[in-house]
This record gives sequence, structure tokens and C-alpha cells, in this order.
Amino acid sequence: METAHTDKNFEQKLNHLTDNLIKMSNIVEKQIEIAVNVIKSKDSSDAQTTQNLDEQVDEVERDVRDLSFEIMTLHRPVASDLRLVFTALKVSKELERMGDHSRNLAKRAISISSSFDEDLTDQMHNLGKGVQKMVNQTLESFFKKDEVQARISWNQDAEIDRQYKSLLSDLIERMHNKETSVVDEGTKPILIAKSLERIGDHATNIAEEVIFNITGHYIDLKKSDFE
Amino acid sequence: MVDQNSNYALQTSEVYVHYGKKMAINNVALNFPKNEVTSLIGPSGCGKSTFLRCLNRMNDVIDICNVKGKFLLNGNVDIYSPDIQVETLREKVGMVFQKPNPFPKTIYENVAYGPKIHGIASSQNELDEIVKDSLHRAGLYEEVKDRMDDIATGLSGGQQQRLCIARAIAIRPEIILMDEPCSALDPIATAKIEDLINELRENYTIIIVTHSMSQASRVSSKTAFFHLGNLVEYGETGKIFTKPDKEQTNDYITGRFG
Repeated sequence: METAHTDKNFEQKLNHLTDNLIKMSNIVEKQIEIAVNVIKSKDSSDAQTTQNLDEQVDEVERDVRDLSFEIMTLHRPVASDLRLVFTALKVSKELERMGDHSRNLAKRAISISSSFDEDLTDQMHNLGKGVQKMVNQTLESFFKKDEVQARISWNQDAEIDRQYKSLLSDLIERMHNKETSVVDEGTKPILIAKSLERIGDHATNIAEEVIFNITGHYIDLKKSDFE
Repeated sequence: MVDQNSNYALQTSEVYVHYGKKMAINNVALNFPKNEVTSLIGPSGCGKSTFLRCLNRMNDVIDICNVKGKFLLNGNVDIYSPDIQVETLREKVGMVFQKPNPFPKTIYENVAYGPKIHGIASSQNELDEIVKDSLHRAGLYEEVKDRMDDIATGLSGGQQQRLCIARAIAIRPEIILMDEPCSALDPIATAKIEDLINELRENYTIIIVTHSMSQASRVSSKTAFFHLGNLVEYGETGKIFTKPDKEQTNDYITGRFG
């Protein structure tokens, strides 16, 4: 348990910064959840919700940026406080990009025909569920300051990448075979899969920031770290 | 353990200081690299000023103060040896205090006093040169060159402190101890002193006690954190202020001490 700050005003601002990140994380997680469901449901009002939530994400990101700037200017944070501000700025940027990808993939998902291949839809949905879980665990590691969990989350990206590549080769193969339902959709399913894979990459970046926030070091994370 | 490595201007080990029965410093070992600035930080009463004052035997005049330990200047001079004259030691280890304390004499005489009593100048011309050079190095010459015969106490606080630094430099020390040298100064005067410290490090080893975390981070390459008479952590200033090893250091520099 961290000792309380003697400067209460500073303490409040640091807490507010963390609260903003929690708020932003909750919105982005919701966005991802809805967007992943839209892959199957093709519900256009849900897709619109991801768009609306994106505006909220952008607003909180601005708050995080302004508050970080204020803290740095007025309180000159050092050591663990400085790392928190630094991490907050970077994590909020990653979250904002995750939000953008969610909005885009939901928009593309509703434009795909309901007669699109069921197996491929399931694969996209499964990829989305995997990404959703990874994001959830990564953000949890941030707020719990859990280095071990951050490393486990980071490692999940390899599985996301594997699923993404498998889906991609499946899509390309079916295009080669001129399966009408796939060819007609063009690059849309590929772009959806890519958005999901990118969300996973942003979660990986957050996991690295979590480790920096806790340890003060950017660790050269390699697969061998986990084997 | 004090070794003979002369890359250090000053090496200390097994330092204990008591005021009567009260322990002020508890088994501290700390070495000061040549031509670097080392900051001593810590809350009031942590022993940092007491430790600083051991380095040129300022505590000798306090009857109840008992200093034990090893203090080696340039790897071979035991500064607490009975053979060492305190005056000679202070030629090598000068000091600048919290509050500027110029003598109630002229600007010139303030700087000339030390070289005169230590017999550093062999002629009036040489003394004039030392005074001029010291004021230059202290970044004060241009401001006072036309009023060298004015009483020094008429200078501003910042100018007085730079005069005290010129006075310390004039006896050609190797080490300059500074005990919160900017605590009585405004931000502009503080910035000038900090600039000066950056320039002086080329020729001197500087050890500074400061309550200002930002000052420690701006001026020093090494930082030592004291608490309750113990040296908690010592290291590169950049590391101390970004990722200290000890939680106690992190708590202090982030303002979580209490």
C-alpha cells in the first residue's frame, strides 16, 4: 500500500488521473465488446454506439493530457509519480487508438452481407473474444500494478497473431477459390481482422507500459522471457 | 572501507556522530568523486548538515559533538589526524553557508582576506589578480568592478552569496561545501548560483546540502539520501529521481514522508 502524499492537492490530482484512466478503460472495453458482438449481430444501432462512445473516449483522453500537463507544470513529479504521469499519457493514447479500431471494425461489420460465410464469421468473432480478454487482463494488471499479469497478457499477443494469420490465410484461400460470398465482400473481412489484431498490439504496448510503471525499466520482452 | 583510490576528492567510512548521547550519524560511508557535484538530501534532522560539517571539521567547535570515523582527503590525508591544522584543512575544503555572511568590510577585502591570512599572495599585484579572478569565477566581477571599495553588506542577497563563493574560491580549495546556499535567495539569484555551481564543477568538487529536490536534480550528478542519521541510498542523480532502489527514498522525494 503506497504511503499517502503530504501534498493533498497533488494526491487528489494523481488520483483523478488514475480515475480518468479507469473511466477511459471502461468505455474502451465496452466499445470493444460491442464491436465484437456486431461481427455476428450486424446491429447497426450497436455500431452507432461504438461511434458515440468514441467521442467520450476522445474527451477523456483530452482530460488525461491536460491533467498530466498541469501535474507536470505545477507539481514537478519525480520517481513513481513521474512514471505514473508518463504511463498515463502513453496508455491513454493506446486506449484512444483501440477505440478507433473498435469503431471502424463495427462500421465495417454491419456492411458485410448476412449471407457471408458462417465459419469465417465465427473465426472473426473468436479472434475478437480473444482480444477482448487480453485487453481486459492487461488493463487489470495496470490498475492492480501486477507485473506478473502484465507479462502474461503480453504473451497472449502471440496467440492473437496466430489466430489472425490463420484467418487471413483462410480468407485469401477462399478468394483464390472464387467463393462468391467471400469475394463479394472484398477487403472488409480482412480489415476487420486487422483491426482486431491491432487492438491486440495496443494491449501489448500497454502491458509494456505497466511493467515500466512498476519497475522503472522498459524490459526487452522476448518470447523466451515466458518459456 | 576507505581505499586509496584518488579518483575521489574525499572518502568517508564508519562515520558516527553523537551530540552528547544523541546519535546524529550512524555508520555512514560515502565517497565524493572529484569534479562532481554531490547533493545530500533528507528531511530536517536527518543528519545531512551534521555530516557536511564533519568534512571540514566545523563540528570541532561544538563541545558535545563527538565525531568518529575515517575521512580521507585525496586518498591519503586523514583530516582528523592530530597533525592536521584545521586552518590548513579549510584551505582545501571551503564552505558556503545558508545565509550569506560577508564580513562588514569592502567587497575587495572580503575576497582578499583569505589569501592574505593564508599567505597565498606574495605581492599586492598578485592579491589584486586573485580577487579579480575569484570574483570572475563567481560570476560577480562585472557587477562589482566599479565599486570594489563599497561595503559588501550593501550588495543584494544573491550578490552577497556569490561574494561568499568568491571568498571561498580565493583560497584555492579543492572541495567546496555548500549548506543550503540558495535557501535565502529568490529564483533569479538561485538560478545564478546554480549556473555557477555548474561552471565550478570543472575545477572543484562540490558537496551541497539542499532541501530543494529540484535543485538537487538540477545541479548534482550524485545524490545521497539521509534519514534518521542513516545513509539510505546513494547513486546517480538521474536514477534517484526516476527509479530509486529504496521505497523510503521514493516516498521522500515524491513527498510521501510523514
